[in-house]
Order: sequence, then structure tokens, then C-alpha cells
Amino acid sequence: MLLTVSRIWRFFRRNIRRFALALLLLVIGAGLGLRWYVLREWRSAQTAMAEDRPTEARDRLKHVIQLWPWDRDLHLLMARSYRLTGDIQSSERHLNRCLELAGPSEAVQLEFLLLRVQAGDIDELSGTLIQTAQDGHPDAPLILQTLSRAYILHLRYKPAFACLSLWIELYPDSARPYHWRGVVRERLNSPKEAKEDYEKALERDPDLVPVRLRIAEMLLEDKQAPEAMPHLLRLIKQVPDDPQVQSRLGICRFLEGEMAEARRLMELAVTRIPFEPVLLITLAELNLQEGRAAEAEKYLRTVLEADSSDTEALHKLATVLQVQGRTQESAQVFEEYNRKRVIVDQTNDLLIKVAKSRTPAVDDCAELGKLLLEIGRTKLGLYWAEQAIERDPLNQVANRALADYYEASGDTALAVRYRSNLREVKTPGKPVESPKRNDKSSK
Amino acid sequence: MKCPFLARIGIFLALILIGSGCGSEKAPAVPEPQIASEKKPSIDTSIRFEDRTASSGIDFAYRNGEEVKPPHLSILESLGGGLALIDFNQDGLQDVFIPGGGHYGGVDNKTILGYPPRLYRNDGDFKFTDVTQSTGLSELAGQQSWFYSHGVAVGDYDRDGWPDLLVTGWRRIALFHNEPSADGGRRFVDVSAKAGLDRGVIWATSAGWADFDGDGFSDLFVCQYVNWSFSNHPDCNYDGSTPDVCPPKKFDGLPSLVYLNNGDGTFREVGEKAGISRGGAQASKALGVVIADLNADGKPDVYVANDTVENFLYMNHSTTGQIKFEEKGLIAGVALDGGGSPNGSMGLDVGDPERTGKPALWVTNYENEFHALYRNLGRGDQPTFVFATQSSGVGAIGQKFVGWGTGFADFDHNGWEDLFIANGHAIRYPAHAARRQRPVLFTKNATKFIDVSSQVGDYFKQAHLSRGVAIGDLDNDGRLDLVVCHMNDKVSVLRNTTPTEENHWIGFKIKGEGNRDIVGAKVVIEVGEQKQTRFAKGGGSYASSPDRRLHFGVGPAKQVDRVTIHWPNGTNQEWTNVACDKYHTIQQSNKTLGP
Repeated sequence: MLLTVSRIWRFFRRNIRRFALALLLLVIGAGLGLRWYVLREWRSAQTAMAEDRPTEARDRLKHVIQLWPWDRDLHLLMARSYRLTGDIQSSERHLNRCLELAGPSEAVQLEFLLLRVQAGDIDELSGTLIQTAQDGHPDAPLILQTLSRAYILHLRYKPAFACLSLWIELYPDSARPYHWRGVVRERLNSPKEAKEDYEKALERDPDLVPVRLRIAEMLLEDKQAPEAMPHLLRLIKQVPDDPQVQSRLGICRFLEGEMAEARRLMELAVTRIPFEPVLLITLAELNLQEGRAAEAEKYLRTVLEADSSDTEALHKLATVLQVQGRTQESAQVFEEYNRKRVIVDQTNDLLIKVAKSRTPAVDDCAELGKLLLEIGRTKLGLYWAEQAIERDPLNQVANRALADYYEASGDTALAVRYRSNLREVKTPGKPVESPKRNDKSSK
Repeated sequence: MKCPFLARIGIFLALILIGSGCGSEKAPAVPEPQIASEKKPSIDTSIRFEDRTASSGIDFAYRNGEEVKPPHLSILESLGGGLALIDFNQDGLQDVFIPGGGHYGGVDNKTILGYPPRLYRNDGDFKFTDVTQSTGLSELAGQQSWFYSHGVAVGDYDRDGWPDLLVTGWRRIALFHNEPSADGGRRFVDVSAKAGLDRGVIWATSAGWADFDGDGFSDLFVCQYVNWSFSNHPDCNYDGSTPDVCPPKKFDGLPSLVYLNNGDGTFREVGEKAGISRGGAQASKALGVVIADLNADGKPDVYVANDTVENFLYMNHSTTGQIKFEEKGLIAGVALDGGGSPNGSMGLDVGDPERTGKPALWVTNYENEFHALYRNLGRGDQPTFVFATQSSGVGAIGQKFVGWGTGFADFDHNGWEDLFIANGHAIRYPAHAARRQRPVLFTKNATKFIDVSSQVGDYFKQAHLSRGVAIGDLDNDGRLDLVVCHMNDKVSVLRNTTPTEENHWIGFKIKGEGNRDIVGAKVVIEVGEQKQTRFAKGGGSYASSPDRRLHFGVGPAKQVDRVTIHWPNGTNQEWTNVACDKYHTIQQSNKTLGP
């Protein structure tokens, strides 16, 4: 053993210069490899940012920044990716690190401003930032993207629309502003114009999956399944495992009567998106048409568990039960369907009325809240009822609806509070009897 | 399917909660109207139709009055007309009756006037002669001029063995009795007043004859549309600016009329007592009706196509002298489409396209809706139907068409009922589809319907503004022909020229005992394992009356193993080894088939 060690030592001493050289080469190689890795990840992160995938960019940079912690540009990009994924604190931390590393610079200052915009200081900064963009700043797309994103997040669609239009004016070949303006136009209830913007986005970048998928969905909503089909066929080649694409293509196949292919696609999709009502209802319809009523029932029950006011599911469930010979159950579901359909129709009428008025009438808000609570759309029902009460604390319809709701959900304190605002206060479980009935009972 | 990606509530919630403060943007340019994408059919078909209009002698167009200046754009103009195949002179050839429609007159052009109809006698070999004048149809009783007309129904109301005519329209219906004329021919006499049918009508569209109460005499079902008149004529548009015909939702629906045949040439209206819907804003805007026995109890039931509101299924519980219906559309699954929405329904038919032996219901609908095929899964007395548009293949044509007259028919004698649909928009300036639309012909094989319109003839490649259609064998060659009514364009006569040498057919003319009404009967033929069923129907298509003979394509077999007829009174008759390629007459209680 000792003999072997001594032989190695002698060999090492004789070749020490060679070993030193090998070590040096190894260190240089490792350094170059590291640099190559960092550059590769950096470029990938930049590409991801450019393609609006900040989460991916952030994940790539997380590893790199540990290996290369002294690079200001890395921290700046990291800050931006955090900002765009909504993590304001982390973004700020990386910006401060930029300042520590290289002092203030225009790029870092701009990112600080954009961070403030995203945090909500939009109006204070928008003028300066828009002017900067209009003056031809190289980061104009970033500025306009941030501003429009902030406006969208704060549901301020008209200024968002203006920002996006400016972005399009300055960079007409860019796909993203068209995509985003399409989204904004949909929110502004201009679906035709939205679709035009999406189509322009696709002209500029035909591989934009969400845009093409949205166009296909809009065509399906507009009862144009044949027109949606080419988009979906392209998407399924592009992203064959995307359950949304599988689902929509399955629905399209169903509409054109290709039942086997429709079933394959939709059953594949439903394993990954198991609670999507449109998919579940179409699967139920397919099963019903193919004589598998029990399967159809299963899908419909899932929809109704999530939303008991889905009248389409209720109507279909009644048919499914009828087909299975469960006539009594079917009749009950039909009854429920009829009851809820009336409420849904009333609700839609009211929503149209409210949409058309600049300031909706308090009574309409209250009635809307009441109707929505009645059909189990709790969140929205509470929203509208509370809107009514905010403007008219003694509104009888809203107070009664809220009292009934809280009473049914077991929150007695809130129920009592709202009930106390009613002119005719009733004790739960003890309805006030009319004088006439009292008279009768006394007799 | 209605709006697949937006729940009904969701549609508006998105608008309210997210998009508040919107609406200042400029409206987009209206795109050029397009016909639904032409899709190459996946199979070849032998079905062919030759347009024989030019040489037929039928040279008549239904007029709707839309040419008036300035235009009224009234909903009256949107309905158009149907037509009837009627062998009025019993020479064995189907003659053609076409309502005339109407126009406007008076100082303000707001007086609604009618055009006389046309009756064309079939002289054979697709030649027709106009006999309107000689048959007395050019004017109403007392030399009154015609009313604005839409539809026609053929039936033998007095059981004299001769088919009579009932014409529907604005504010009137008219019953014409088929009588011998002085020259030994036939003539029609307006007996509306005598029959008690000259009053109480607001706006009659389609009609159908059937013996609802089982007394042997044909009763009458008349659809009524909406309460439009020039005193209820709002301005409408669909794009915020272009004036157009109003949608039916602007008006209240009218109750359908049920006339009980008293058996003495008179009728009495019993709709309300019989359980017919009373109409209103959300009910009974009837455009089409088909009558057949849907639950195999021998009684003719009624299916009504309503425009934008729920369709009705009136199950017949009548007893002699008392008509009684129970409306079961919703619970039977035929009131709404597969998505649970009411459709703008127009034309309809009853058939057995999947050879189940049970009558399926078929309805043509408006743009953005699927035409509906309802598969009959009924057990016992309980009617149960399932919306089967997609699985049957008819959904593949998309939702761009506005369908009207329609009918099942085995055009190529392969043993499966094919399907024809006449299309054309209801409004004047549609944004998303053309006003004129090509017709659709589906061929049927063992699995599904396939649109083969592009292969079957020139007429099918062109866009038309079609309404009613009557299917029948005009030259008795066993191949079913088509007669299509258009708005303001000549009626088209389409001869079926499908090469059918390898396939055979059989047809039946059915006569009830003492000329009893036969609607509700059904004929079943058996060829080997194959069973096919046809139903004796009243009404059908849109505002039209087809050839009432029951026609079967039987494929390569030269004879039918067994023919069974199930009469409405519950009795059956049966014949074996019946020869193909001819029409047979089945006379109730006669043991032999007649020629």
C-alpha cells in the first residue's frame, strides 16, 4: 500500500507542470461552460419575456442568478419577470441589488417607475411614461405593456385601449398589442372588433396559441363550427396535449357529427379539466345521443353540483332521466328547470337593463341580488344585494334577500342584522299571522 | 347547441361586471353575406334532379308584396307560401296548387290584398296546364277577390272520395269543395261560409287535416302566427341603422285553431276547449304543423313548429265528438333544442330515417340554430324524444341556413329515407348569412345523413329564396320529385332522374273504409331482415301538402316479403310477397291490394 502511494507521489512530482496545466485548462473550461450556460439561460429568459412568458423567464433566471450573482442585467431582468408575475416585493429586492451593483441607471429607474405603475400609481406616472414612449424610447413596448396591463388589472378598459392603440401605432408589426387589445375589446363588449384584432395578431404571429384558441372559441360561440375547425386542427398539431384545445376540437367534431373522434378528444380533455361545464354538457349530449343515458347523467350531475342554476344542464338531465324511464324524477327536474328558467330569464332581462343604464337603479340592483341568490349564484347575488344596501341601507328587497340567505346558511347574526332593517320584522320560524287568521282562530 | 362557451347568465355578467362604461367605439363594417362553407361530401351519390320548370308549363311565382315603395318591411312579407300536390281529377297524376300570396293597395298602400292562386293540371310527362279559371279558383265565393294567402292543406272533409282544398292566409282561410263541373270535369266551390270557416281567423299559416276524434271525418288544425297588423307595426333593425323586417318576439303569439268536423259540411272551432295554448308574448307563434300517430295508440297527434318559442306536442286524448289534447312538448323533449333553447322553427316532417319503427320528428330552424331531428324513444303511452341532430349527421351543415319546407323521401330507393330542405332568409338584410340560400339534400345510409347537395343537380348549386316544398311522384315512375315555392320567383319543378335500375320501390295509396280519414295509420314493409315504416300524415313541410301516397325504396329486392297496415281503429291487415315497382291501393277491409 505504502509502495503504491509513494509511486504515485513520485509520478506527480515528475509531471507537476503537466498537472498544473490540466488543472488550469479544467478551470478555464468550467468557467467558459458556466458562462455559456448563463448566456444560454439569459437569452432563453429574454426570449420568454419577449413572448410574454414571465414565469418561465423567472424560473430560468432563478438558477442562473445564483451562479452569476454580480450581474446587474440579470437582476434587472429578474426584477422585471417578478414584476410581471405580480411579485412586487421580489422585484423591488432585485432592483435594489441592481443599484448596489452598478448605481442608478436609466434602465433601473424606468423599471422602478414601471413597478410603481403596476403597484397602482398609474395616473401619477402615465403622462410621463406615455410621453417617453412617444418620444421613441427603446423600451416603449415595455412601458405601454405595463401601463395597459395595469389599466386592465384595475378594470379601466378605455385607457387600456388607448395605450394599446398607441402601442400598435408605434409598433404596427407587433402581435402582442393586437392580442391584448382584442382582450380589452371583448371586455368592452365589442366582440367583432376583438376578433378583428385577434386576427391581426395571428397575421403577425401565426403561432400564438391563446389567440388562435380564442378565435376558435369565438367562432364556436357564434355558431360557426366549420369556420372554427381549421384553427383547431392547426392548434392540435401545435399543442397536441393541451386539454383546452382537445376539448374545443372535440366539441367541434361533435357538432359536425364525428362522434367517435369527438368522444376520444373530449374524454381525453375531461381527465385534465374535469369541471368545465361546456365540456361536461357536450359529453353528456354525446352520450345521450348515443344511447348512454347513465353516462350522460354522471356528467350533468357534476355540472349541477358546481352550479345548480345551469338550466341547460337541468333541461338535459330531465331528458336523461325520462329516457331511463325515471319519469317521476324527470318531472321533478323539469319543475325545477321551469322555475329556474323563469328566474334566469328575469335575471338576464335585469342585467341588460342594468348594462344599459349609467347608474343602475337601486331597486334593480336589489332585485338582481335577490334573483341571483335564489338560483344559487351566491357570490354575484351578494355583490348586487350589497350594492343596493350601500346606496339604500333600508332597501327592503335587498335586506330580505340577504337575511334569508344568511339565515339559510346558518349565519344568524348577519341574518338578524339584515332582518332588523325590514319594516315588518319577522322572527325566524314564526311567521306573523294576519289579523284575519287570528280572528278565525279565536273563534 | 346554444352559445357553447357562455352560460346564459354569464353572457351578461361578463358585460356588466367587467365592461362597464363601454360603447363608444365605432360600429364595424357589415361583412358580405356568405353561404355556409361548402363542404365536399364524403360519399358519391347517384341522386340526380333535373330542373323541368321551363318546359313544364308551370309559370307562376308566389308574390309577397315587398316591392311596394316605400317598403313596409312587414313581417307579413317574410312568410311566403307553400304548395300542394293534389290529384283533383283522380286521373292518377298529381296536380299542383300554388297559393298566390298578395300585395298592398289603397291610398297609403296599407290595404292588404291577395293574388289568386294557380292550379296546374298534370297532363303527364311533366307537362302541366293552368286550369285555375276553369276550376273556379280564380276568385272566392260571391266574386270576392282573394285574400293574402300562404298555405294549403288537402283533405276529403266530406268523405265523398274527392280531395278538397283548404287555403290559409291573412285574416282568412277558405275551404274549396271538389265537385263535378258542367263539362264533366271537376271544379272547386268556395264553401267557407257554409262550413263556418270564413270568420275568426287572424293570421293562418300552415294547416293539416286529420280525424282527431275518431268519427271518420277529417278535422282541421290551423296554425296562427302573431298579432301583427299595420296598427302594430314597429320599426326594427338588426344593426342599429338598417330598417328591416321585425322579429316575431316583437309580437304576441296567436292560438292555433282546431275545427271539429260536424260531419254535415260544417265545422266548429274548439281549440280552447281542446286544450290548445292561448298564445301570448312567449307562446304559440305557429308556422308549421305535422300530424301523425306518435305513440302508437291509433290517434293522430299534433306537432307544431313555433317561431322563437317552444314547439308544441299535442298528444291526442279525444273521444268521438270531443277533441282533447294534452300539450307535452317540454316533457317529451321536443319543445326545445338540445341546448334547452326554443328555436325559430318553420318546417317539419315525421319519418323513420333510422328504421326503428317509431316516428321521429324533424324540424327546420332559423339561422344560428341546428335543424332538429328528435329520435323517438317512447315507451308505452309516454312520448319521449331525444335531440339527435349531431349523431344523425344533419348538424354537419352548420347553422347558417334558414330552413323552411322539408320532407323525408327515399330518393334513390336504397331503403333509407333521405331528406330535403328548402332554405332562404326571413329578413331582408341578414348580416351573417345570405338572403338567398342553396337548398340542402341529405342522402342517408345505414349510419348517418350526408349532405350531397353539390352533386345532385344545377338547381341545388344555386341560391334561392325558398319557402314551401311538396314531395311527390309527378310522373308515377316511382321516383319522388320536388316542387319548390320561392318568394317572387317562379316555382321550380324538379324531376328525379336518379338511375335506380338496381334498386326497387313500392308505393301505397291508402283509402279508409267509406273514405274515412287515414291520418294516424302506418304501413310496415319487411324485406328479409329489413323493416321499414311509413306514417300516414296530415300537414307537414311548410304551408304545403305533399303526395299522400306512402312510398318505400326497397333496395335490390324485387318483391316485399310482408306488408302490414295498422289502421287508426286498431285493426291490422297483412299481405305477403307483394310485387315492387308499382303503386298498390290499400282499401280498408279489402283483402286484396288494388292497382
